[in-house]
Amino acid sequence: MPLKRGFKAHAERIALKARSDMGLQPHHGLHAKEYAAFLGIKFMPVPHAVKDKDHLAVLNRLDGWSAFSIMVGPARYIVNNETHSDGRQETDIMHEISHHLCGHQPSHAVPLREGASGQCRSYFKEIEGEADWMAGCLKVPKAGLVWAIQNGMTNDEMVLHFRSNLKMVTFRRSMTGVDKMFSASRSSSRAA
Amino acid sequence: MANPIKINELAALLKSRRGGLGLREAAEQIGDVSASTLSRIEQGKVPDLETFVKICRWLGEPTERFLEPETHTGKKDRKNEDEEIIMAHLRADKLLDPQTKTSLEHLIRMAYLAAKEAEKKQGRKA
Repeated sequence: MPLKRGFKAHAERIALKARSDMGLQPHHGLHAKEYAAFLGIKFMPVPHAVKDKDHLAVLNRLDGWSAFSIMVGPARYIVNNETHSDGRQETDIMHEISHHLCGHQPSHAVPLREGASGQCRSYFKEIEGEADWMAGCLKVPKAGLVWAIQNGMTNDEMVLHFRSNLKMVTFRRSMTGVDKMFSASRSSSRAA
Repeated sequence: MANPIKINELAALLKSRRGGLGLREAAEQIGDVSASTLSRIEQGKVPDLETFVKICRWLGEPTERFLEPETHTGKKDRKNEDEEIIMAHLRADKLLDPQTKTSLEHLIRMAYLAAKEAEKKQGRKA
C-alpha cells in the first residue's frame, strides 16, 4: 500500500531530529534501545514476564514473532524476541518505536483472561507500512547513506556503522536512490 | 462515565496548529473529516475514535498524549479486570499456528501483568 503524501520526507526529518535530540550527527548510527530509553519507552525481557521454565523454552523456540508493544496507563513497554540476530532486533525495536512516533492505535486485542482467544481487531496495512518505513529511516537515514558512500564504505561497513543488517542497508540504498545520485554526479563531472 | 480524551488540550492544540489555515483546508489535509466536525471539536466536542486518530496523526502527536490516565475505582473495576482487553502492536508472521498464537497471547498477558506491577511499584516510590 503506498504511503500517504509527504510521509517519506517526514520520516527522514524524524530520523534527523532523533539524532539531534540525542546529541548525534546526522550520519551517526542510532541504537534502538538507547533511543527508546530517551523517549521513555521501557523494555520487558521475556524471562521477566514468563517464569514458567517449560513455557519459556517454548517461547525461545518460536521464530514467528519479532516484538510487541503494550501500554500500561501512560507507560509504554516493548517486548522483543532476543533469540534473533542483533541487526534484526534493532529493526524490530525501531518498528515498535515508530508506531509510538506515528501515534498509531494498536490493533491486536488480547483478553486478559486466560483461555479467551485474542483477535486482530483491525489490520491497517497503512500503519504497518508507515512503521516499516520510519524504522528504516531511523536505522539508516538518507543523510547517513550519503556520508557513508562519500567515505567509500562497503555495505558490510555500513551494517556495522548503523548497527543494522545487510537486508536493511541494501533496501535503503535502493529506496533512497543515493547510488543513482552519485552515479549521475560522476557522469556530469566527466562531461564537464 | 468520565471522558477518556483530554478534549480541551486537543482542541487548543488543533486550533493553534491550524493557525491561519482555513477549517476546510485543514479538514482536507486531515482526510475524511468535515470542516464542521473540525469546528465542533475545536469548541470542545469529543470526536469519534477514527477522527481522533486522524487528527493526532495530522498533529504529529501520539494519541496517548490526549488520553486520560487510568484510574482505579475499587471493587467495581476488579470485576471488570476479568473482561479487560490488552491492546498491543504485534510484529509477527501473519499466519500463526495455534500453538504459537496461544503462547504469544500468554506472553502478552504475562508481560502486561508484570508491567502493571512494575508501574504500581514505581508509583509507590514516587
